[in-house]
Amino acid sequence: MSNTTEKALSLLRYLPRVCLANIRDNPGAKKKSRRGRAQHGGDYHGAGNKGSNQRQNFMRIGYETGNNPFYLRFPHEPYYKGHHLKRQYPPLSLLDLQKLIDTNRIDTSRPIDLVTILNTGLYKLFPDQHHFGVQLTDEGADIFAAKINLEVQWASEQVIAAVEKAGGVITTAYYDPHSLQAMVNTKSFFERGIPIPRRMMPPPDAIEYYSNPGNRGYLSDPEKISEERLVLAQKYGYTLPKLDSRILEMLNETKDPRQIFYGLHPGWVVNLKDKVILKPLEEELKEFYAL
Amino acid sequence: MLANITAKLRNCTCTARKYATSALSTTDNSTSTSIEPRTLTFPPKYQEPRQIWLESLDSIDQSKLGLLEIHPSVFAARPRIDVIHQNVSWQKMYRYVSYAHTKSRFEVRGGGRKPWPQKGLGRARHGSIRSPLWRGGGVIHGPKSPTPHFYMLPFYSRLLGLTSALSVKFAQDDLHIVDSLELPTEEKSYVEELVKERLWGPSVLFVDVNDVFPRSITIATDEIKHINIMPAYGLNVYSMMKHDTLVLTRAALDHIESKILEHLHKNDTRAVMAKFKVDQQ
Amino acid sequence: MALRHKLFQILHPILTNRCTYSIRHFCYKASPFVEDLDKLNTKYEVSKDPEEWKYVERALPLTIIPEPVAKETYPSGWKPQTNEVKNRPYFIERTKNHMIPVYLDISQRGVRRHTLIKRIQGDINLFEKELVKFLQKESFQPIRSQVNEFAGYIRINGDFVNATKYFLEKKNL
Repeated sequence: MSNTTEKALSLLRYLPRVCLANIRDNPGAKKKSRRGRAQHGGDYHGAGNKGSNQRQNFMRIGYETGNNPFYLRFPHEPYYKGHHLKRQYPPLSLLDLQKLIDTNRIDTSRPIDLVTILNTGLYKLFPDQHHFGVQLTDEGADIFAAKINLEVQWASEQVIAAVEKAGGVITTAYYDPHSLQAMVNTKSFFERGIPIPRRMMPPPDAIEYYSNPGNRGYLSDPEKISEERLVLAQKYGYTLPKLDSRILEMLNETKDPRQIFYGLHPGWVVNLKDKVILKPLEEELKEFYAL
Repeated sequence: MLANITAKLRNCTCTARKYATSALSTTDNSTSTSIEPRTLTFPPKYQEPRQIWLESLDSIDQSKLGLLEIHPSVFAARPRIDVIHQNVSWQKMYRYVSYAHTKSRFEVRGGGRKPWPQKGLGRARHGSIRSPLWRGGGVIHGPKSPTPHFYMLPFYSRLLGLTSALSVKFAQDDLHIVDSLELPTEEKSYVEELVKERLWGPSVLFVDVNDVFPRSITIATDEIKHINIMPAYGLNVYSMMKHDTLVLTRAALDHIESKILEHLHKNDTRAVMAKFKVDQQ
Repeated sequence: MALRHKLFQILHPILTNRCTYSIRHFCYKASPFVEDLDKLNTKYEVSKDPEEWKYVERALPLTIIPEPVAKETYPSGWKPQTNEVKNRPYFIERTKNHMIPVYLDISQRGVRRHTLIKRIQGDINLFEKELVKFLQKESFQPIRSQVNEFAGYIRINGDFVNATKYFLEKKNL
C-alpha cells in the first residue's frame, strides 16, 4: 500500500532534475500588495473621504471627537484592584498527568515535582508573569491510577483525595520567583554558573495555606498529615490504601524547605562541562546556605 | 488527479531506470559484506528503510563496495517543492541589503523658501519648489538606503527544506555515498574524467564532516568552479539545488542523518525560534 | 605646559576614551564585574561524586521524546498504535508525541469550527465515507466534508473531534 509520499517520489524519477530554475511556491502563497486602480480598489484606495482618516492623520484610540469618551466616563471601581499582582497557578489536569505517565514522558519511579513536569516540555511556566507554580485540577480524578510522590503548588481536596486513593503521596510546596527562574530552564541555569539559590519562605498570605495539613502543606506537621489522610478517606468514602512497600522509600522522599532540586543543596555550583559540583567551604557561605 | 499525470508520463520517451525508491524486495546478499552495516536510530514506523550504494573514488570506473541502509524520514520525506523554493528565497534574501536610495522632499537640495506669496498672483499655491508635485521634487515613498530584507524562516520549514532536498536528490539518483574523499592523484583531470564516466552531472558537491579535507581532492577541485567541497555544517538547500549531484562521505551521512533525526524527534520545540521572537511568549 | 597638556588629555572626553557621564549597561551579562575575579579567594571544593551527579541529570530535561513503554492498561484512555495497522486499507499516522492527529480549528471569533484529521494514509475516500456515515448519527444537518487526497487530510464542518477519536479507537487505528 503506497501513500502519497511514495507516489510523489516515484513521480520524480520520470520528471526532469529539480533545480533552481524549476521550483516555485504554491499558487496563492504570495499575495502581491499593490495599490488598487480603476473601479475596484481605486479612487479613495480604502481610506474613505476627506477628514483626518483620508489625510492619514488618525485620532488616538477611544477618542470620540471631543465628548467625554467611554473609557473615561466611569470612575474606577475596586473590583479587580491588585489582580495584576496576584499569584497565578497555570493548571494541569489529573487526566493530563495520567497521559504523561502512560506515554512514558514522566518516570513514576522517581518523585514528581515542578521540575519534572517542566522538563517534559509540554507544560510551560512564565515566572515573570506572576506564575508561581502548577495547580492540579480534578479533570480525570475518577480515572487517576498511579502511585506517585507528587509535589505541586496548589491542589484542591478532590485532587488530594484522588491521588491518595490511587496509593500515592501529594505535597503542596511554595517556590519564590527567583527559584522558579532556576527551575524553568535548568540547563541554562546551570550554564550560568551561579550557585543554586535557597528557597524563600512563603509570603504572609500563603503561610497559612502551606502550614495546613489539610492542604498537605510542606510546612505542616507530618503526623497531622497522616491524620488528615484518614479523615479525607472517610469523607470521600474510599479505604486508604497501604503504601506499596517496594516504592516506600521513593514515596517518602521529601525536600528541605530551603531546597529547590532533589539531592542538590543551595550554594552548590554545577559545572555541566566538566561534570563536577563546586561546594563552598567558607564559613559565612555555609551558614547562609545552611549546609 | 495523480493518476492523470502518471498516465501521461508513462507515454513520454525518457529512459528512466527501473529500480524504485522503495527497498529492494529481493534479498540480494551476494554483495561483499566487508563494509560495516548501518543501524538506524529512531526505527522508522511508517516507511521502509531505503538502500543506497556505498561507492569509492579510488578509480575512475564505478566501484560499488556494498549497500547501506538510510532513514526514510530524512531521505524519503515528502518532496515539498514549495518549501524548497521558500528556503532558496530565504537564503538569497535574508542577507540582502538594498542600497537603492531616492531623495525625498527634505533631502533634495533647495526648497526651503515659499516660491511666491500665497495669494494675489493668480498662480497655484505652493510651499516649496521640491514638493513631490514639482518637476525635480522629492520622491514619495521611494526606496531608502540601506534597507535590509532580513527575516527568519521558521525552524521546521528549514528542516523540511533540508529533508525535501535530500529526498529529491535521492529519488532522482543524484545522491551518492562514498567511503572517503581521498583520491589517488592530485590531477584535476582525474576528477573531471571520474564525474564524466560515472554520469554524475556537470556540477558536483562533495560533503564531508570536518572542514579539513584530504589534500588530493582539495587541489584537484580547486580550479574547477563547478565541482565544490563543503563541510557538513554548511549543507544548505540552495547548494543542493545548484549542484546537480551530491556526494556524501559515510561519516557525513551519519552526522547529517543523526542531526536531522534529533531535530525531528525533539522534546522542546518552542526553544528553536525563541531568540527570533520579540515581545512574545 | 606639559602638565596642562597631560591634564587636558585626561579630562577631554573626545580626545580620550574616558566618558564623563555614567555608563549604563543594557543587561546583567554585559556589565563588567565590580571587582577583579583574580583577587577573589573564596574557598571551595570540587566534588565528582557520581551519586550527586545522578541528581543533576534528574534535573536536566530530556532532549528527545521518549518511546512509550508497553503496559497492560492505560488509565488515561490513550492507546499505543500497533504495527498491523499498516495492513488496513487506510490508517492514520501518529504524531511525534504519539497522539492522534485530530484537531479542532476555531476561526471567525468562535463561530467557525472545523474538525481537521491529518496524516491519513491509504484509501482516504473510503475513510471519509465510513467516518461521515458514523458522524451523521450525531447531527441533524448533513455533514459537510472536504477531502484533500494529496496532502492527506479531511476537514469536516463542525466539532466532531471526540466522536472522530472514538471512531478511530473503536477501529484500533
